[in-house]
Amino acid sequence: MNAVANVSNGTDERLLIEAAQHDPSRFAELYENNFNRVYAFVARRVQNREEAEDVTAEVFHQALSKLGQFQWRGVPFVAWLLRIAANAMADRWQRESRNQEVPVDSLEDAGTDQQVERSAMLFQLVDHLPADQRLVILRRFVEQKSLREISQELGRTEGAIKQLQFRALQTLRSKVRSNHE
Amino acid sequence: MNSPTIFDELDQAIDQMMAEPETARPSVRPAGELGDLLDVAFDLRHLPRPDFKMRLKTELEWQSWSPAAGTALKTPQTQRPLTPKALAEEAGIMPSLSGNSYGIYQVRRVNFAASVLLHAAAVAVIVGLGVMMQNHSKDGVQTGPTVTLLARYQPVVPMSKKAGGGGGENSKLSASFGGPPKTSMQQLTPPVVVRPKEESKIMAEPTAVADLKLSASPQVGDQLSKLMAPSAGTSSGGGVGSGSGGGYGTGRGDGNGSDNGVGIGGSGSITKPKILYSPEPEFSEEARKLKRQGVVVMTVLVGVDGRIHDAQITRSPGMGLDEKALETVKLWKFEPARTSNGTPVAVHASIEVNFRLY
Repeated sequence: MNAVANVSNGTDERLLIEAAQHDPSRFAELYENNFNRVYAFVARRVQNREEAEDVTAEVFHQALSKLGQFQWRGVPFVAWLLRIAANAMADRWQRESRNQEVPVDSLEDAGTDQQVERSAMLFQLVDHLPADQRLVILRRFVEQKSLREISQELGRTEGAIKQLQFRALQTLRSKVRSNHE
Repeated sequence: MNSPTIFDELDQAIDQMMAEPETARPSVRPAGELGDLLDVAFDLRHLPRPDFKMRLKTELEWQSWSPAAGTALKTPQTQRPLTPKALAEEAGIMPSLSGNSYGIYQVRRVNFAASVLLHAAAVAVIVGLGVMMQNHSKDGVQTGPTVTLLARYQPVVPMSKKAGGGGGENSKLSASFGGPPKTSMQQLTPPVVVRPKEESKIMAEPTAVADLKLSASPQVGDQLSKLMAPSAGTSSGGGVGSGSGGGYGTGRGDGNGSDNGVGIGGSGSITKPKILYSPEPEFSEEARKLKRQGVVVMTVLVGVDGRIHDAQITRSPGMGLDEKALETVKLWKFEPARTSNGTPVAVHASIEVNFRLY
């Protein structure tokens, strides 16, 4: 299934955008629908988590302030967001005098990136893991703690944490597969 | 059931992956299930922090409520909220009126307006209750009586800066424990501790010179003495105390006190007892029905423990008000009077309780 086509029903998204253009408080729904994709797109292209957060925040702030200029032309909203993200990263790199310019044209269809879509789906699936498995995944991959540190924090054996990590990754893999099929 | 080996292998591979730069894929991808799980783990390295997602959403909500304020909340580089101080500087005077605030969180203008209205309503209710209470009082309901400590404690020197002093009867013992004698502005007979067995038929009442109506103790003596055996003191003059003269105290003279001269009280070196706890007495039922008011004056002995040990009514309007005043005054607690060296001493004082209808 095409990743962008899978985002949402085009008509629904158009209605959401128009609603947000009239009432900015409705922007929250657009944010929820697209946060993981934007973050996954940015995180793969920057050096660290702090930079990914800065760029993602900049993208959504810009999107909200320029929402009135957005015109629906059948292109998914996320494509517009990813274009803002690509420009933001290019500006940032130019400012920092890095010789790593991103070819903006090649990012116009970044919304179809299978990897971005897969990561975004994975991020969403983590929220639906059982609580103990989700906690272990967050401690291990977001906070980058060792299994020993996690076991001490949660008051469980290292073996139990190891098993929870394994089960969580198994669950995520099988759900990603089933969603792609 | 998976063997513990797979768990260990997976964790070791994840450890190795985490040690490499975030953008780098593992150089060697294990085959089979382990490889699949490592692919998932690689994507999870970019998992956003849950609190970041929430924080950004909150920032966007602020921005959507007030676009201008939302812009002010961002720095050009990071678009993170400014410090409260910087926010206040940008917001200017009373930023709440424009939807900003001095705090971390932005203020909704609607909420601010609601807050103003609620506060105004609360003030109106308080003022209204005050007016109601005032009107109600005018209808004849009395408030509590006022109480006044007249600060006439013993010894004080209203007539003479020099106080009178005590004498004695050349006893080997200093004056024994007891209360003050009766007072009179004209002394005919000095205070005595031990009355003679045969008294004259025309006996003048032993008194000390004072213009206070104090409650005379049945056993005259020194309030600070620890001696219980009756003794008028070691000196001469016929009074009570260690000085000389027909008075009461440690000096010389015919008054009450510790200095020389004729008069009332002491040298001013005794501090005034201070009221610490003074519940107000209630109106008696009779006075309430008759809507009568008046003043009760009483003489009290404030002990070294700060309690009232003896209280006698010297003026009363009747109607049970004196009883109410007595009942309540006995509950009062004082910081006791003290000598110059800080020793607490028992003193007499007059108290005025004013029962008044408003």
